[in-house]
Amino acid sequence: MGGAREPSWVIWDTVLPMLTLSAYIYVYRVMNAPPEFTGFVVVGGAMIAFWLNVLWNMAAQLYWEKETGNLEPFLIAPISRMAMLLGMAIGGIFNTTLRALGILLVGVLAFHVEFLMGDPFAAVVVFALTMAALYSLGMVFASVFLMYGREAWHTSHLLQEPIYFLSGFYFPVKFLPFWLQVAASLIPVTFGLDAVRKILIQGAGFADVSLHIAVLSIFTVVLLLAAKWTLRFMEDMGRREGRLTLRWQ
Amino acid sequence: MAVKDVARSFRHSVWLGWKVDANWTDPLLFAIYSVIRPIAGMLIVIFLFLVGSQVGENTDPNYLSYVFVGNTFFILVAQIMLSMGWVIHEDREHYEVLKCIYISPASLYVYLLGRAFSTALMALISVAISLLFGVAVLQMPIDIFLINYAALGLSLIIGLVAISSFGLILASVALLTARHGAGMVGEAVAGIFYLFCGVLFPVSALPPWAQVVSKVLPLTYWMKAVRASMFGVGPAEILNDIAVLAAYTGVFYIVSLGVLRLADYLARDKGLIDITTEY
Repeated sequence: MGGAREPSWVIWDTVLPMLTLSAYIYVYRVMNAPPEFTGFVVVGGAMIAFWLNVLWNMAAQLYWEKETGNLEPFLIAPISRMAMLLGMAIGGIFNTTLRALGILLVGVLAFHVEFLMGDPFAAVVVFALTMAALYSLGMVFASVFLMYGREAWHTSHLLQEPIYFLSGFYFPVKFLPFWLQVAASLIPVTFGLDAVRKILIQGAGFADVSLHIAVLSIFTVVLLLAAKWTLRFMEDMGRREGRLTLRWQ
Repeated sequence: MAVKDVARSFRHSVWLGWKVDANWTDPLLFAIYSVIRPIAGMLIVIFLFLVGSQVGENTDPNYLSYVFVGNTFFILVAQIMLSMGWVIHEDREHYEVLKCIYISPASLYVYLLGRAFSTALMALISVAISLLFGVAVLQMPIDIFLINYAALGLSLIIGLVAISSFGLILASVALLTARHGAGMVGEAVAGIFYLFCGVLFPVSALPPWAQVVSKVLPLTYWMKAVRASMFGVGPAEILNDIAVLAAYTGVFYIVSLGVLRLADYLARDKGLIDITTEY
């Protein structure tokens, strides 16, 4: 809805974020890195759009509704919380896919990034599983943030640069030290991003990303169950402690 | 407004900015929070260099210092732009106090400057911690005895005026626009300076049209002056950059005042001072 009312998001969310990515691309160019690293940065930038959407339009959404006084109608409505969050996730994925495609398009036009697209079926499966895992994680965050005050806002900020670094949004995670790779493997977007890069930039097929697909499937199931449980637990706690209607805390 | 009233408004705005940014948690957690983001940002660019030097042909170690200093001082730009891009939406839609600020004796201009100054103080602490972390832990080749502290101080003062002027322009635009992406607008606009002002790579690497853009942005000269100060270049070499920085800063400062006045008039005319978009 907001995207239709304010079409200037094309500038704010697609063109301007590309400027920071461009700076990283120039670093690789100054260092004479192979052209595929330009593609790595552009694909990472497209995936950042999804990560930001999960953080700010999924995780922080219920917090924001509480702060603006809209949470009560949400909770009074005769719908399941999971269904409500699922609807928000689908809307978010649709909008953000448009933004991510915009970033990829700018990457192709401005930096001549070449996509090999090894196996379209594998690309669709990996993308779908990555989104499922990411937005399930967003649901877990949403339930936790429901109980927070301004901590939720700052936690979302805190989950930006550290995750960009750990999950290898600007370089493949294989360049990180082993113990950091272990930490990165706990974040679903690490596997999703690595698989998407392998398919789009390096022309990998289904078999090459089978491990990624298996891990993302496990992430999705575990995080969905966790979201269902945490949402019920946090809402019950919020009702008991009277924190669902607290504003500006 | 009398000078005394301006000073009081400014002081209270700085205090309010500090409270809004910092009192959501205990001091220890806030300190950790304030350090993690800049250090993670620093690690990103350091790993870009390390990866680039492994897969590329340019392995000049001086380039690492260039990237480190540029990215560390850019924290000031990023945080002030983030704060100024969000302050209007936060006051208008979240806390719903923008209308109260309008009807108070304080001027909106002084209030916004105070908020920018508050962010700048916190950002300066982040810069100092990042420099310490880089030198002490990551062994960045910065010699603290070589730094030209006088030139660095002067560059920082003028640079902060320049950054705040851009922040005022962004806040003025925010007066007329709806909330976008939960406050990411400031970060996105900071990308303009990240790309064009020689933060991570020499401006000469940009295409010719982009170099023209770079030359009219005061932060390009700010970056050059800060970097030269950090590496102990003599005052004569830095003076030219500081002079150009001061001249461009003066121009953008006057422009920011005009833009704020225009946006303020339009926002009042269109009834946007207490608008809530709810999305």
